[in-house]
Amino acid sequence: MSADGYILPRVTPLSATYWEGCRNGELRLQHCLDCGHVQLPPRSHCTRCRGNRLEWRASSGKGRVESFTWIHIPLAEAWADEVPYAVALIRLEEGPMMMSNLRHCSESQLAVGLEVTVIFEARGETIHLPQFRPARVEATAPEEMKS
Amino acid sequence: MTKARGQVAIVGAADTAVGKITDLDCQALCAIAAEKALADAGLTFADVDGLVTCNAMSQPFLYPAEALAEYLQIYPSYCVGLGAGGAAAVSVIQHAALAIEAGLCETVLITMADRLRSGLSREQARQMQSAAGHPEFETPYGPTAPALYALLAQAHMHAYGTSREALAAVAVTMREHAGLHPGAQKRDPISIDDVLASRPVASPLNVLDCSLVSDGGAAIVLTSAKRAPNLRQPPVLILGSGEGHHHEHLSGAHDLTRSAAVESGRQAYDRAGLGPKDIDVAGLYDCFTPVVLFLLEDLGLCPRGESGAFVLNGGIRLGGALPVNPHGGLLSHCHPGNPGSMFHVTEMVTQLRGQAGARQVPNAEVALVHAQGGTLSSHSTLILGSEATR
Repeated sequence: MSADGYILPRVTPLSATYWEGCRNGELRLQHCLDCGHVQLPPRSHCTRCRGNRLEWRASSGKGRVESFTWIHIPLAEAWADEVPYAVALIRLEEGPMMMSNLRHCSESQLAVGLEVTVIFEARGETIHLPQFRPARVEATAPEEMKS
Repeated sequence: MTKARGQVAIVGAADTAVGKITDLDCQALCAIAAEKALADAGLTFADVDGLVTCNAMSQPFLYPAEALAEYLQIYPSYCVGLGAGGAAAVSVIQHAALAIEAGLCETVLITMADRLRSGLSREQARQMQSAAGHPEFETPYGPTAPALYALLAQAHMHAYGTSREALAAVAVTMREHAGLHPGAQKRDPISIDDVLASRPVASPLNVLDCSLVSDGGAAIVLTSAKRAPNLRQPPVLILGSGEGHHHEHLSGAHDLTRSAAVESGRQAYDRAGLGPKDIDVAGLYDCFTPVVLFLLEDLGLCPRGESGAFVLNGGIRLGGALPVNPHGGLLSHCHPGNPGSMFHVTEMVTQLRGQAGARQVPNAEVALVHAQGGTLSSHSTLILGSEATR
């Protein structure tokens, strides 16, 4: 847990490069040098061809919302001031699906198919959490905006 | 499973009281359920040579089955503690039946209980909530267990135009059924409007779309079909079973509108030599309302994409095309955690014996039970038959 109470990711030796990328403003994905498959979470082997020649490359950070929910009863106290907060499944341009939060997005704007782009939010000293915002800024009244 | 159809039978079944239980722990509830199930079968603990249970979140042991054998002071030759979340209670029956067929043991007691309502410390409750997501790639985003199912509901609504009211109708039907069961935890009728007006949890799901939090347990006794006819109750035969596993964490799902219940169900139907049209009554895992819609489609019990209309038209009500969870399910009967689907099993046994009273499905001869664990992750299907199906 971080000082502000958020639950922090448990980093493993395999994922250290992913989180290092996040600290540098880069969403990194594993690319298979044998079959071209792109994957997340990081693994020791390619899940398509089982090869182990994997290379980290930066993602474009662009994707689309596949599903979403606005959470009214938070997972832990740290999220209590943010309710409702949006959790979404995002299909990245390169192929993998990931879970994330939608930031700077109104309830009326969030929909399946919404184009989004990655941003990074510092959670303590070492973790910069990849999150997303709408790719196009909508002309909404400021009071409708969710941080 | 099973090498030959109908070789193993459920000969005893019993539930404990459910809801709020403050004077007993989980092992005591397991013992009480076991004693009742054995008495139902006309057997005693001396007949038991196989024991299966799952861990209780509110009273965890490193080796839960061995700890329970010690508690009961029985000495089984087959002793298994199983973990597959909500799928465990159905999956264990497949394992136990195999052990009987293989000759490892003759009579297996399956008993499990938990006290999620009264028995969890604040820290255990917090850990349970956050355990649902991937610890590195999901939990840091704050998804609750209902939120994970809300993501599935939203995907289904987008793909098939499923209405919010269809989700609510699942909860309304479960409550209607629970009203006919004297032991159910929630028996007051609710309407679709009540569900829509209840407290938002994770859109589109409200509190009344979510299962109960309960204490309670249930047990069943299995033995060979050869031995079963000499016992106290009409045997309920295990005709077929199957399992399916696609992912564990939701962000690892390959398809947000179709689950491994498809494969689990297909195996069970094939092994039973039956199909969806042969099912008279079903016990479907209903931790959140959208799960029932997914399972109806994945198990072929209604056409794909049409589960919403099926439910809104009364398809899952008693008297409908396929009555589901006449006991009220996890949404209205009780949900003590991993043991939750044991109550679906004991209800199907009661139905196939023709002992369900006011909620009896007339002439019920073939029943399907399906449980799932994780986030539509692990699936287990069982097809049960009355003596007439032998």
